[in-house]
Amino acid sequence: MSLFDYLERDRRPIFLVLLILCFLPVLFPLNLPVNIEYWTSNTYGFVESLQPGDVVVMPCDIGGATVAELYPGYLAIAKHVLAKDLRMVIMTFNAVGQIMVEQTIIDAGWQAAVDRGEKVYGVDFVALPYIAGFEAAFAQFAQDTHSTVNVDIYGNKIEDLPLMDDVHSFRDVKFVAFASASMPDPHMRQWTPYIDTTGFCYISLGYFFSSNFVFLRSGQWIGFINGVKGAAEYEILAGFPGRGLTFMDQSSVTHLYAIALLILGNAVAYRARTRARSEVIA
Amino acid sequence: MVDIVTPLVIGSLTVATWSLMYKENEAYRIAEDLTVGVMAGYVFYVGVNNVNTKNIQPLLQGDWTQLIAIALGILLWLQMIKSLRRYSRYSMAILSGVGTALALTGVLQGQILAPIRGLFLPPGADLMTKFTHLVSAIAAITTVMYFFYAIKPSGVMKPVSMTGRWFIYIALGSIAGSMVVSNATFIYDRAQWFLYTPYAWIPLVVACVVIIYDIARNR
Repeated sequence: MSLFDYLERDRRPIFLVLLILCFLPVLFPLNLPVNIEYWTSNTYGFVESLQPGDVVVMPCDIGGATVAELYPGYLAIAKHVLAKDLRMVIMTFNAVGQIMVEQTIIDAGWQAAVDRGEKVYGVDFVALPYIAGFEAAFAQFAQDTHSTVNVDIYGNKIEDLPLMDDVHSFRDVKFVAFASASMPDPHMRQWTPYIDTTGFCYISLGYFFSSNFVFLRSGQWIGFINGVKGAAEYEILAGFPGRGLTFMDQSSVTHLYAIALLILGNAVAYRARTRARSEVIA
Repeated sequence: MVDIVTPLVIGSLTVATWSLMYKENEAYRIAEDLTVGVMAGYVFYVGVNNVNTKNIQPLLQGDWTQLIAIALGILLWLQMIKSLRRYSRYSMAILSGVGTALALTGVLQGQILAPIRGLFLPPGADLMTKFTHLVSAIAAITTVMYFFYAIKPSGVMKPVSMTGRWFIYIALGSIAGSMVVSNATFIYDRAQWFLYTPYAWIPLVVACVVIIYDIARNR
């Protein structure tokens, strides 16, 4: 039995090779070049232009189904915000997002900064719990933050957190970086009135890439992070090499494999067709 | 101890999920049910906690306006009782009314005026950007014409409509390709996790041994 015949009967070796190819670049990094796009560099440049003490809001609507693609970009920005000595309000509009809010505080180094005595919770950053209501919540949080939440994720009253004294609406916020698996239309329906005072960046799934240009081109966003590629670009710009860069190596290798499979699949189909024809003639 | 058990449990559930690629099995079904169950349980906890901190506690502290929200919430639950189902419509009406009002007030500025303003901005200095804008304009016009059913696509309209169809093919192909990349990210993520997390490789090796044994036994 030839390889073609075997693969027609059993596709499992294809999956096995795919898995192996996903692991190899982690063990042996290829460090392939990553072209930095202007929508990522615009975002980086905007965060760089902010002054220490400026307030950044980071809605973290990342669930289990989207953590792999959205989290690296979100994390890179959270690290950059910390490095720039900005103040951060981190929260979620997604019922399962609170896990990632807590994880970001740890992974981005905010918790370690608190442990070292460099940052103070409530003064330099605040973590707010899940805010229900989707589009109604987007509108209300941007318009009157204090009426939307009364406690943080640790149960402290909002009035007792000094940072929240300076944050009453998006007019008090310089930059909003929101990660979401849903289309950004509901967000921007409610947040567009603030674009003259606040910069917006959407950390997006790869398949929203084309639709993101509507908001970028209209000036509603400073930029956007396009899935793991955007994350890799931001990691390079900010100087925090992380998972996004390794993702790009894995992505490149598996894409080459996908192209090879495409050619192989067509060859198998062509062979089956010519064989069927010759059998009919015989 | 937690540092060892946690990667072992997570790793086992991951390989159990991946085991579907080999064949349908009990381990996969357990992982699938656990994922759904844990997620449902967590969302339930977050929902209850949310109602407690944002409604019940303020009510107990004397904020009587919370009674309105709680009453509307209870009315929603009446959907489950057939004889009282009609009362849940009041909550539904408020929810959909508020949602529609919010969307409509935001849509004009956020999704109509701002994108139109972007349309009139100069296309950019370099030749490639100008070319991209030209292609985008042709794609937008021809695609709209493809869905313009009032005129039968004949004569000069036929090639316009066909061009629009090809742009739709290209756009759908691009979206499908992007979705594949998005979904492949899960495997990349897990591969990194397996190799960077101490003890996480153990379930992977065990799964390989079990699969090899199964292959040998069925041969």
